[in-house]
Amino acid sequence: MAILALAVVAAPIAAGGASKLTGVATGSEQVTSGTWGASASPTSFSFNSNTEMTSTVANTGTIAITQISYTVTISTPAGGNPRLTLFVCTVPWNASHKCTGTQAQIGGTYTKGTVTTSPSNEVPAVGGDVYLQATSAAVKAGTTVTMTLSLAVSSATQIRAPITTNQ
Amino acid sequence: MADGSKRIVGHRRGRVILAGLFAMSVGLVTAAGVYAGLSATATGSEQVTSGSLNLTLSADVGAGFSNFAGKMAPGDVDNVYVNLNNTGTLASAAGMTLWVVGAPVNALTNGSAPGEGLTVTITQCSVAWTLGTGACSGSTTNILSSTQISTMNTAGTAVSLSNVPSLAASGLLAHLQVSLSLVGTETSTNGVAPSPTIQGLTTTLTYTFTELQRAAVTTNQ
Repeated sequence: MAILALAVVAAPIAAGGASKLTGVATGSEQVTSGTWGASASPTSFSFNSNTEMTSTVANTGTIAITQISYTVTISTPAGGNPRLTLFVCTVPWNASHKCTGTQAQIGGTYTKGTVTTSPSNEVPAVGGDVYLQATSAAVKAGTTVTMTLSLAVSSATQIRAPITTNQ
Repeated sequence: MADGSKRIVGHRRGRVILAGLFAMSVGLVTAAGVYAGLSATATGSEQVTSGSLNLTLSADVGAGFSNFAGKMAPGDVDNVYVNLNNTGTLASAAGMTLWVVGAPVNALTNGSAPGEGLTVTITQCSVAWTLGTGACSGSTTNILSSTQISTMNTAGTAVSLSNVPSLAASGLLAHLQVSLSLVGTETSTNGVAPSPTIQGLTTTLTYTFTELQRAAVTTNQ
């Protein structure tokens, strides 16, 4: 009985010797990440004659972008050696297929059976658009050549410069 | 005559019984007196007051911990400036721990997008920071090197802030710059983010700083 009582007294003493007080302070802040990207509509043009076709590129993100990479894929038609080009304009192309804003060519001349990635610095602002026009030449009659676009925006090199906020 | 003898014998027995009872009662009273006389009591007293250990956060310059209003892009930095105050009556031990949890938990804080997410850096300035520029005109001490929140998002994975000195009672660790940054290496294709992604996410971060009391002291007096 005496031994049991001693053990009961000793246990809290031992526990008290091992424990320590802690002080805890917390602070919180909310943060939201942005998004970056661009898409084209339509993304594919099918030419069976020498003509022009247009597409609209939209900034789908919430972060400003500085460049878009266009991967242009040209099909291999049954015959002929078609030559295709791609231009971007900051305003819609007019009825005469002219750009009345700032115009730039994306890549060079694309030929059949090629896949080429080219950058463009003419980009839409957040919530805005830019406008593409694809042009074909030397399309052999009775054949169809297709240009397909894929747009990519990388956070590493193609979005606005980092911002530091002190608050 | 025989009846008289019986009465005499009866009286004698009664006297003997009474005498015995009297002797027993005297003995008991005496014994009680002896016992009372052998007990002794001594008292001593001492007063003791326990100390307290309290840690609080307060803004240094600027708003302190507050919501980041913008949309954070990779490489962006959000700096807030705070003080840690030991408001108890006990000094703290050197060093603290910190863990940061997000609610809701997502790729910003849980490491589900490998190599991406939020990071925290803490730097102390010997004088108040310049809020407009985020510059320190005194000397700086590294408290926490850039650390992914995903590696310190539970109490069990709290990181040690080894450069924090012992804080005296009512002492403070002042002029801390807590820098939150976003690491991201994502490419969106045709307007679609990869999966998993750090894009378009919101979380509320709770920073938990913990201090320990100073070493226990044994006093002989």
